[in-house]
Amino acid sequence: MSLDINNLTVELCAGKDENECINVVDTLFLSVKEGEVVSIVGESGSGKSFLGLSILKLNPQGVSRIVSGEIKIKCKSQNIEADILKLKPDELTDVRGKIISMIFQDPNTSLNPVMKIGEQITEAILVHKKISKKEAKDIAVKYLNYMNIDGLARFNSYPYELSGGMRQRVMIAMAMVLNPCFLIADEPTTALDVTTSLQVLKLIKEIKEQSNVGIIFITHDLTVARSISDRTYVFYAGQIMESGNTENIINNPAHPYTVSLIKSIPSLSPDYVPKQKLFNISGYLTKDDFKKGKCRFYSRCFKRDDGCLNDIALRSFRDAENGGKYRRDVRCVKFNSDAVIK
Amino acid sequence: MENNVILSVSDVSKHYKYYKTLFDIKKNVIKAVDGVSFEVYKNEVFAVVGETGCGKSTLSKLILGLTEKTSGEIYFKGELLDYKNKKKDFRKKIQILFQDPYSSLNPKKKIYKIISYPAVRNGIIKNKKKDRMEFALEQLKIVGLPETTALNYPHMLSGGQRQRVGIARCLSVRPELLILDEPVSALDVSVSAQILNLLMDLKNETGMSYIFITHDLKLVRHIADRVCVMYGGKIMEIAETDDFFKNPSHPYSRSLLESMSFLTSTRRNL
Repeated sequence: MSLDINNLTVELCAGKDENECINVVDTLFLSVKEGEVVSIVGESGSGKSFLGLSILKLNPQGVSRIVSGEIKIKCKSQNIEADILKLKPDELTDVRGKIISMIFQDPNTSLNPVMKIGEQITEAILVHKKISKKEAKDIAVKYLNYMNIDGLARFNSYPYELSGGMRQRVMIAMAMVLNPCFLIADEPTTALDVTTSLQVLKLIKEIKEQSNVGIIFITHDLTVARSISDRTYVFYAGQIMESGNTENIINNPAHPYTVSLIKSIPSLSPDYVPKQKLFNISGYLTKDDFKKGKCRFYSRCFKRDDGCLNDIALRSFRDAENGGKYRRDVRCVKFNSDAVIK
Repeated sequence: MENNVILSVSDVSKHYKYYKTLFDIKKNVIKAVDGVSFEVYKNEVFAVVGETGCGKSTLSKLILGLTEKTSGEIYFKGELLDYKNKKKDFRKKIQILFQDPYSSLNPKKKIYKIISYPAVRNGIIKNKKKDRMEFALEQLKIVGLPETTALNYPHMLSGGQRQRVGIARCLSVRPELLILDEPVSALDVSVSAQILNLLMDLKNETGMSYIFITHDLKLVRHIADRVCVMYGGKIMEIAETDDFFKNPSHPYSRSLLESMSFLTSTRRNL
């Protein structure tokens, strides 16, 4: 069971001019295995949500198109092995929800406010499975219970009757109800406060352990990524800047962008000195950063020089930690290590 | 410390009454803020933490006089805080910076108008384009925005730039107390670091006090002098920041800290 994205490039054209097009996702390689949580960390506007949508081919048609690449899925329990980009529209409907499902960022806007939550969940089941309404209800109640919501009592509730955390759990129930192989979670905890986001994270972790689903966890918060994921991809302006084992990346970041990100977060560790100036990354992520011919982080980098004025390739190394068990990909000419993988 | 007290809130409550059904005879009461007392000192960052619905925002509304309090009194520098008292002009002295810079700026107005409006309203400058422009440019310099921003509309700016405009607007009347309602929770990590640095600099330069409302304990540790933990409309604990993080005395504070340390320490704790 695996999901492999190879060389995926997605183009976004804002104007009519062909030169205006930018690659929101650029030559991307990503893989998720069974029972693995992979997080994609990046700031707003970096294209990480766009990537999540592109995996399901839900990227807005007309303004964006997938230029090249393949998204291979292999899922034994649903008996499917295919390239998503080559599927016909009706086959794609089968993939969405049944094989790869998605949790969206804001539970307040992604549930239908005029439908009972039970109906919304059974609707998802009935689209994909030929079973009676009563059976579908049983499944829905089972999954709601599983998410620590009293399924029978809450089946007939409307979204407004639930709290933010409960709504997000309903969303997760809806995503898990068809027992998919993969789950894309697009900032599921951003709209929630600390204590409820903790509950949701714990729940996602539990689901992973019990049903062995592979999870792509999109977030802008490195601390959240750290708490949940096995591997992390640091995403900036449509490119992977650095990827590897989460713990190793945080303890020993290689790319200047990752270094700056980690430095700019205040910490709770006992040796942290409060009230000093926080490190900040100068400038903003702009449309020009997506253009070719230089490192995409060039305009904001503290290590930049003329050597960065080329397209930078992703190079692979072995991490020194854990006996060289993990692989680290870095897109920076300034980073060097002996343990190169060719 | 007596003379240094800038804001003193004593036993303030806000109860909302409502009918649960159409046929209720008695009104139900929600105690959004219930018997809250604290003091804020000069040039201090006073953090208010708590989860959604604990009354943080109602408290800030009460201080700003945006909602009528049920009971209790608030004193500003020893004087009874009463926004109807025109002579004292409390509006100038207490300002608020809102959470979401995307919805708190009027999309139809240019930036220089947004920034200079409070000053015009409070009679600091005259309502002439030249005066307003000059004033706005000065303010933009303070918050580190380029002069060209003055003629932009809010939609042309990024989140961080908008939040800077929000700060410039607050500062335009030279307040002595600024309420920061989750000022960086809508921003990215890198941008939020910029805004936090700016806020700290401004505090040191002008000697303002901040009431910093947040649910992120990392920020509290970084910026606050004292912490106040709220739960269900009541204050659970007020402590110096260092003491709070070393030795929280209330069980709720402890559970808050635990959920944070889970996020910052390694994954094994889960």
